[in-house]
Amino acid sequence: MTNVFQCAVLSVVKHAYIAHAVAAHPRFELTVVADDADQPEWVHERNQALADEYRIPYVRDVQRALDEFDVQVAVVSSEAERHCDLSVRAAEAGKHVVLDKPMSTRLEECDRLVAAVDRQQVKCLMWNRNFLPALLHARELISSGELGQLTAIHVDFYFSKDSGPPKGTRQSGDPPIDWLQHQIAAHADGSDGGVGREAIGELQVEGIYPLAYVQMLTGARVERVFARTASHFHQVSVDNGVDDLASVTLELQGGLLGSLALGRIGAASHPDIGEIKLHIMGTKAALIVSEARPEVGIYYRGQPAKEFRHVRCAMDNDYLLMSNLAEAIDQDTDTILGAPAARAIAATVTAAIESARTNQPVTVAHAG
Amino acid sequence: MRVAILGSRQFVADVLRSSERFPDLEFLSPGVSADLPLEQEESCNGPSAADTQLDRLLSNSDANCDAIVAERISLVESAARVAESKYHLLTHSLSHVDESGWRRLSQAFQAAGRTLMCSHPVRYRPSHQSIKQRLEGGQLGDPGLLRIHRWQSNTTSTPPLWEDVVQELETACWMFSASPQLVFAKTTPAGAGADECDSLQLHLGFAGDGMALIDLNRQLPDGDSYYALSLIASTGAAYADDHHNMQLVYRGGPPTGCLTTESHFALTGQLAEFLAAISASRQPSIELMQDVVRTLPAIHRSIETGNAVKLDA
Repeated sequence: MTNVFQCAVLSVVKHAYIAHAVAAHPRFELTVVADDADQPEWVHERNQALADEYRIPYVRDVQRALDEFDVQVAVVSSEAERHCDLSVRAAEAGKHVVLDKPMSTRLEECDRLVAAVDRQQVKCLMWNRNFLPALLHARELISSGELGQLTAIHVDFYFSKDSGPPKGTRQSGDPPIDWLQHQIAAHADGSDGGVGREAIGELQVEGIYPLAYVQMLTGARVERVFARTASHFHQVSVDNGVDDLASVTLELQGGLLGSLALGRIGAASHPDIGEIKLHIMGTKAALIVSEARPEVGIYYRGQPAKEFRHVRCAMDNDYLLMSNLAEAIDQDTDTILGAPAARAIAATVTAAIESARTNQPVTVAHAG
Repeated sequence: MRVAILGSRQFVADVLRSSERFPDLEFLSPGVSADLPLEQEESCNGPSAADTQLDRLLSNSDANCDAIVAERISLVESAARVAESKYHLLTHSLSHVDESGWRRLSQAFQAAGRTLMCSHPVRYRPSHQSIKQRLEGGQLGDPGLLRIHRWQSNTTSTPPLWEDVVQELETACWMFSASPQLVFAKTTPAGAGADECDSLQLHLGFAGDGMALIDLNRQLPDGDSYYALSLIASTGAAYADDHHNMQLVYRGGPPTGCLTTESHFALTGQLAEFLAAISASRQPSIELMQDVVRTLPAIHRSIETGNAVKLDA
């Protein structure tokens, strides 16, 4: 009989789906929700809601929860700027960490987490989509040698969500949209982006997913980037000076060339969740992957306009991620996306943002 | 109107197939005939087939045609002679042309009262035309990010990769109705020049935060090519992708994807535009080609230096 890991949820203001995924796995159980007492009331409300849903306590003291509840794992889904700090505190208390995206908006914070995880010899899992069926299939084809040596990889990561009023709709005299207030309000319909006090662009929020694909499929590090970014769709992006559309040229180890096209392109721009594709070139063959497959088309009279007509199926990503963490703990192996790998992605995103600002390629500042 | 077709056997065959749509025209293929001696085969199929045939046609005072459709012309001077000889010209490719050469050439055609069109059929694909129409109609809003993948195998009959660069740069300038202001280009193998690389990746910045990523690759195994274009714009998006247009063939084992192609429509659309331009005494590609040729040196410079190159507005 394998043991069940008890988990503390440290703030759940962003994605409750991570906590739900943890709870749904037979090797994990939610024990307590905790957060710092000085957090604003909307944070406490969301934490309390999850605690009520699972009928577990909500403790307004992170340290006490880590000390007094017999938990082995911390699940962090706070505002982006608190991700690393809460994770570091959990790691320093000897807890394994499951962390929502982005790792952080600051590389120093990422470094602090990498060091804490290493020092305490705990496991860290950055939430990702690497176990989607299409990605697993691509990985299998590449590992089998069918493509030969990879020479190029390109990822499109367009997700078709809106984010408040469209660009250009602010009337003269209207105040700019407040980032945090917008994100809090957008939570109701799931269209919130980078929740936090600090405005963050989509490259920082979503970049981890496609860059984790690149990392898993190539095993190569991004060495240099050239990027363009724009606030192209949403007034909240314009008002807060962050990107909602980005293109990045990736120069990878071993002469591999790649690119990333990413954006929160608006609900009108795709019939489903978005166009997410990979184009992979090898010395023996090439591969074009639609990340959404397998999916089923469902159409019916009276169908709500916002309901996706093509529904992804055979999705096992959440379960496999948690199995991956359990296996890493049991066998002392690395997770699919641990702290150093996530830090490398954060460094790539940081370099891309700098490149877009300077209009020149930028070398990625990898650790060590 | 009589139209002379100059180029390889394949090119001539493609144009003749499209010519059925234009019953009022007479198409000639002076460089290609079934009983051509073997020693002249190169002039029908080599990369410079159209050049050789053009030389012959211009030297022949009895050449009885009004317009020329050429696969590829290598020298600006040869193209200028077409204007002097009072023919209209459509060429898919004009190698080695720079900004001042293109200006001189277009002035020569304007002075001669003849139409010059230098353009590849790729942007006349029905899918591309649909996207452009929606852009111009305002349904898609402002173009934001254009993404193109164009993959082919590298056989002896494949034109140089640089021609793909010119053609897709034309597509990008056409979609944005502007020339880029920022150019970053990378090749593989790393450090290879534009003339000897296996792949070239072009990253462009346009005014108003527009951007384009163009991936041109010659590393596919022998067989069919692959093409995809997506345009993300401010109020909509368009996706034209061979991946979406694949049919499946089951012969045992894993199925094979077969593309239902649209490319043969492109040539017809392009010829129709050329003929309409002649009728209306228009010069349909002068500004667009000007945008293209002013960008080409920046691509070379970016590859050589490893840096992004800014172009003046």
